[in-house]
Amino acid sequence: MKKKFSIEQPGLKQNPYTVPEGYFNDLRNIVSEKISSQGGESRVWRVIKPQLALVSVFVFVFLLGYGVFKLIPLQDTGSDLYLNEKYTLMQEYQLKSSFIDFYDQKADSAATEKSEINPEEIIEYLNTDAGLLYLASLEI
Amino acid sequence: MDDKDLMALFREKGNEHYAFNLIVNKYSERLYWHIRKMVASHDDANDLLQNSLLKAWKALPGFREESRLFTWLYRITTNEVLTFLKKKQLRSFLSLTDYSTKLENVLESDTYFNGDSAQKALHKAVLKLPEKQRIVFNLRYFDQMKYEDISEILGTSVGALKASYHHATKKIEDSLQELL
Repeated sequence: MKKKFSIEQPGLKQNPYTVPEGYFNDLRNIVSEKISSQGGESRVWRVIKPQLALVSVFVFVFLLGYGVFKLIPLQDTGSDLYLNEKYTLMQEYQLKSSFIDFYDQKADSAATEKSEINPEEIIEYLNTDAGLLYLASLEI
Repeated sequence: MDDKDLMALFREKGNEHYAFNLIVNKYSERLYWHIRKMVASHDDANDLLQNSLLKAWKALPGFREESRLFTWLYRITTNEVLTFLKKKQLRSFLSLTDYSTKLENVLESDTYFNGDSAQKALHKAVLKLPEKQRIVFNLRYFDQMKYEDISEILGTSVGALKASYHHATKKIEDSLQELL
């Protein structure tokens, strides 16, 4: 019968791994250098740095969104071109397309002038044409 | 110089670098072997140790000495190693390879491994263990650390650690029984 293997055998606990010669001395120097290069950062800067990073991300996202809406041509631009073209044609051929275009200001003002009736004419009209019953109702 | 004196020195203005260099001198070797037994490769162990020490340097002003300095350093290092192993395992999973087999291959071709065949077999068996079980086994078996200290590092109860160590020992003995 095979004897049960035990990990408590002598020698097994010894460390079989090795390192390149002078590794630990080099490591101390490397770590010391890295720490010294980081030492320039003040405590305030270390606190502010992540917050600044967050703000810059927000600014970047905003600018990106703004750029997308502002710089990339939208579908509406096509209709703007159509309107501009239509306006040019209307001016060129004096086309009328809306109520404003058809509105005749001169004729309208002439009619308004006509409608300014002399009060004496009104009295004369009333004296001749208005019925007596109607005048009586007005007195009430 | 003990840890309390080192921390007192670190808190003195202008002595931070000097105190931290003393901490590095005191603990870097122990931390290196702890990492090396987890990742097998010297290059990976070197990178992880440097990262851990730099993280410790950044976090040391906020260290409130509620735990001991050496368990705090071990905790930083262990977390760094676990994060590294998770990334490696994910990459292996995506490339449909087994990471523990990769680690065995690293050990097989490692020029900085001077152990005999029994030691090689033991370390291969250790590399097959799940990460947390491997940490418990390494700290207890090779570093002969107290369960209370391991509990402080891993934040696990002493009872659970004892059970974990027992299971790890059983697995390794069974694995070596087949190999040797």
